[in-house]
Amino acid sequence: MRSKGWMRRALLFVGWGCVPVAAHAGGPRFVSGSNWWVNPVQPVAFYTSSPAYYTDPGDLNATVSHAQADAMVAAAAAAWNVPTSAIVLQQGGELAEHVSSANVYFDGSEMVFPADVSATNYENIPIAVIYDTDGSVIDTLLGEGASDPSGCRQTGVVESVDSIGLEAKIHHAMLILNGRCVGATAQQLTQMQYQLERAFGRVLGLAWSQVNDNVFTGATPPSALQISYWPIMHPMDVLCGAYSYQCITNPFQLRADDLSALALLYPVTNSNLMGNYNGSTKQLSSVQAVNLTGQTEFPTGQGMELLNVTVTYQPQGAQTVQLTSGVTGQLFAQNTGNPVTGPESFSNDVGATWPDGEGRTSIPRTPDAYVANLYMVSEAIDPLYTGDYAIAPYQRPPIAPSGSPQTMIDWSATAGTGNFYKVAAWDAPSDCPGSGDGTQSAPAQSDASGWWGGQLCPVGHSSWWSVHINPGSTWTIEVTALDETGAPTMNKAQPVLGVWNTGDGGLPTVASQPFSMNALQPGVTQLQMLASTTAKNYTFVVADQYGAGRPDFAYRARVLYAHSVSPAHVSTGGGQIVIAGEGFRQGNQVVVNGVPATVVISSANQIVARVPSMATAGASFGTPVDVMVMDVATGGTTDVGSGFSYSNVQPGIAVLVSSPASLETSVTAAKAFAVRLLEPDGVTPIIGEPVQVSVVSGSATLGACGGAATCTLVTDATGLVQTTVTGRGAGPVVLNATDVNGGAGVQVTVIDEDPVRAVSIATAPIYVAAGASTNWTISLAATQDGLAAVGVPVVWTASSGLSVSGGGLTNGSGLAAPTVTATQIPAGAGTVTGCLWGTVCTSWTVTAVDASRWRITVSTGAAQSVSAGTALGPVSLGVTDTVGHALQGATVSVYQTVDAWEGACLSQGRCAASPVLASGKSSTVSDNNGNVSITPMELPGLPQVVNIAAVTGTQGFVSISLPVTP
Amino acid sequence: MSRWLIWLLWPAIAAGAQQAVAGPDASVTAALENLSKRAATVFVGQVVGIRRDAGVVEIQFRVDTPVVGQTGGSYTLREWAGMWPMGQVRYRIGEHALVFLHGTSSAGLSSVVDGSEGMVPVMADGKGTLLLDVRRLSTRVERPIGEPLADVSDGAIALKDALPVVQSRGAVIKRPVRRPLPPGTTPILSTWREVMRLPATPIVEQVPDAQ
Repeated sequence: MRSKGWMRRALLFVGWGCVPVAAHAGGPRFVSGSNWWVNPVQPVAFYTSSPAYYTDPGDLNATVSHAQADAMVAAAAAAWNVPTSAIVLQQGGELAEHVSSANVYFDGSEMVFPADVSATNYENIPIAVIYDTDGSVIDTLLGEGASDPSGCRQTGVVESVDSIGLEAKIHHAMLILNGRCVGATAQQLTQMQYQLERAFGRVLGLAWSQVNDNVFTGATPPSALQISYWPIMHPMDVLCGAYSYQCITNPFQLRADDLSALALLYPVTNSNLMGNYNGSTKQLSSVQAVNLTGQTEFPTGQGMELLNVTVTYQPQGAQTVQLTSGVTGQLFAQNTGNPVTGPESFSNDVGATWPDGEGRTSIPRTPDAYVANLYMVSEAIDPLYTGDYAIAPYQRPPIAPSGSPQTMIDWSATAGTGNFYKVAAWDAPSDCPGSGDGTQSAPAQSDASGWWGGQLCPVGHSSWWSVHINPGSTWTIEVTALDETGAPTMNKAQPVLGVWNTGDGGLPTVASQPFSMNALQPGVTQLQMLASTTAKNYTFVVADQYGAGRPDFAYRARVLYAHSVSPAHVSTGGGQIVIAGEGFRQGNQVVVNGVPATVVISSANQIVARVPSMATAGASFGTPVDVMVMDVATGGTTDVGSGFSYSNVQPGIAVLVSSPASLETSVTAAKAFAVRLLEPDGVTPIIGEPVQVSVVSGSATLGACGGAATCTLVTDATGLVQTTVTGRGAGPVVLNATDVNGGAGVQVTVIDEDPVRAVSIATAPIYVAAGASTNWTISLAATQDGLAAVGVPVVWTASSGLSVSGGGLTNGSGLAAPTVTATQIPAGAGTVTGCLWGTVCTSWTVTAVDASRWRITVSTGAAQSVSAGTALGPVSLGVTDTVGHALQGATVSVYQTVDAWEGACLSQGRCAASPVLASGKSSTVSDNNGNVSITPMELPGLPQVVNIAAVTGTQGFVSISLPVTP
Repeated sequence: MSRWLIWLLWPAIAAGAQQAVAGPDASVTAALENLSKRAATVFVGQVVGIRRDAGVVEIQFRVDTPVVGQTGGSYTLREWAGMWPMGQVRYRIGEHALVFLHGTSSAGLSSVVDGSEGMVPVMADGKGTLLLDVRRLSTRVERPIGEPLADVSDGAIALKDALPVVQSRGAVIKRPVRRPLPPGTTPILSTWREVMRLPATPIVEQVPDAQ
């Protein structure tokens, strides 16, 4: 008897699409959801710990008999019968008939299998093993040629878990062995045994596993220890030859990670050990093992899901090895719905949104004979492990980790114990605003440039934006998922888009892109919008497809929208158009009636393009043509349906009137950039016409644009527009002027050359007495390219004791003359520095000399001798430092005495002492040349001797005597 | 040949008819040849819908570039629902790929050749050049255990370079140039690995049970 509709009944039983939650590496393949399940949020195991398998009564093929095949299946199953797991996987008997394409067929809606093979017979036959002798069953199920021996790596063994009950238990599975994949060669049968061993693991509910992944990737050379701990449930084989079982050591012995997954699904506990296995070889799963739980978080405290966490063993003095693993977010909801598609569907009811679950993983059995040094460390899920190779049934692409790998150390872990560790990734993103980006009823205004950024955080958060669109334009919304460095990524947020007429509620009323990253460029979700007949305000949402939100879910949004084209008419010979809108960028292409135009200038809000002739564009006279802006990188487009018409409008003529011969950086050129628009007759000026002037490339600003690089000017009564040009950086500068309506234009290239600049201070260095207070006027001269640099700001700086005033701008001769003031200047060298153009500088020094180094000499007047009645001339003293530099500002004390004339001394005895007729003391300060002038204290009409002594500093002294003879 | 002789020799004939288990491919190009030789239908397209029914899962593709056995427009792949165990996502809507499909069986069913490997991701670089992400195909290439996957740092080839190989089913001898994947794709040989100094371990311990 055959069972028609086994699948339908199975689905009715379990609820089709009642998808279990995330399976996890080194853990369960399925976990139940939270809403529809009798036993919610649980790892899904077989309904019995003894799921007997029943084999096909036929031969596997002409060379492998039924008995040989049964022996091979038994050997593959035996690997799963281990002491630390309750599972007992043994043959229960044989199927009622040999299964082939003769009794497997499609009845128009579903596959029909013999009744005892079908899922509805699960209580009698939990696992059916089919010997597909000629491959016809596989061909029927998977398509013609699927059983071909060239595909035996994939179809040697085909497994199917075809019934899971709402109580969160696997009911039934099917294993189809491809008879075309084995022959006379013994290795072929061993290869099938290996594939079947792994398939048994899958139907028992084990997920693929990522442990010592370098064995697979070769990223680092694996050690023998790492190879020995590479799990049987690794996702993808290494192909070192024709038989992959030869590429793994001990291919029929489970590894620590496989045992850990088994212990999670089929644990041996005190109760079932005593109840069911008393006297058997089973032992507690916790024996010689530790039970570890890890939790990884962002700095905000939010869990970080979809990390592969491995338990690493640190033997003393030996290389580390990963033993077991788990994926974070083991029981966390995989999909909570979003505003675009609504709440989670029945089929997406997986896991639960309990906060701690997002970053948590449980690894129930890591081997530990007595006490061992273990640590858990997080790593990324290999991006190849998706789809059939997923190490968990994550509905979303694996999320790239944020921050540094997290380590949770369990030193001296004692067998039989369990530990829980929690760690935050300190260098992961820590910003989770959760607001400021609108709500459905009050959306935020999108940026006028068409470009802006946002973030989807925390879980369930969406961004709501508004935009105004003119009639007749198609437009595109794009969202690029970004990583924490701002680079596009496919492995963070999975943005989806929905559009409403502003004010609408519910699900999107205008358009939606319910699946992320539909564009060809990595990381980009795109929604192309049709044109409307009236201007409209739209509200649109950016949300994660799976309802997730994290601090590292950043995005860049874009509205690519061309709202107008000018002029309305272009000459049949072609011309220039200006497209206004938002979201443009360098590299965008313009297409007119399907024919490429040449983009001249592009900015976020404007594109100037040169359009082809009417003939080239294949357009019709007077009929509006389509103008499209395309972003070839993303495939985004915006289209103005009636952009312009070709007509008999004769293009005006643009004549270059003047242009700077060259530019100097930071200097406004003397000659303006001036263009005149003339009618086609070449004589009549076009008055009042808008002309866009712009710096197409290079660095310069335009005076008429208020210092901007582009603006629109209007021609004067002579058809002229003009602007000064200021260089802003060395190199070629392309200046453009284009008639906005007519398209006529002029373009010139001038060179901003590196100027030769020189600055100097002519004033000689000054030496001044320490402690003096004085001032000087110094002179700075600046030139550029040999000419006086006029009107250039000078920035002055001075060292301690000095200050500068005035001289902040060079005059018409390129000079600046500031006043430098010294106030009780301390001993030592002082500096005054003047800088122009930021970097061209010159300095002037003032040396303040300590009083111990002042010296004084008589410059003039020391040798004079006069007769009584004739006046002595002034005596000039010079103050210097020890080197001879004239010293200004030095205080000089002068002492004078006038002695009476005594004549010549007697030949015998002492000279007669002359009486002092007068004496005096004065003080003065050396001038800018270091000079001091002294007038001798002479008594009129008397013969006398005038004695002068001068003292400066602590060691400067000089004296002279001036005779006034009888 | 007489019937009795055929009967007598049948085991040997049958054994000879058995082919060797598929070995690894010699290169990524050889992998493309391999897939194309075994495919009845090949196209470049995008998954635009997945509909689960009781016994069949229908995957709707928009066909952008027909390559073998397909003229364009759209294509509906009908897969046995037994290949869609609950919770497992075989394909994602929105996915762009070069798709290799088996011929349709008498039951009206088919599948992707070699599972996920016959669905080669297509993406564009910054200039709009279409690329194939062939990293998964690289895993089909023979290598000693522990040796790095070949050229995964340059995990792409240009679609236009691959199509002649596929269309000719290997008759065209051409080895497409490997290129880097565009920014945004996650590298396999991630450097996001543990870099840590462990504290001293002043304990006497025993080796964990070997498996």
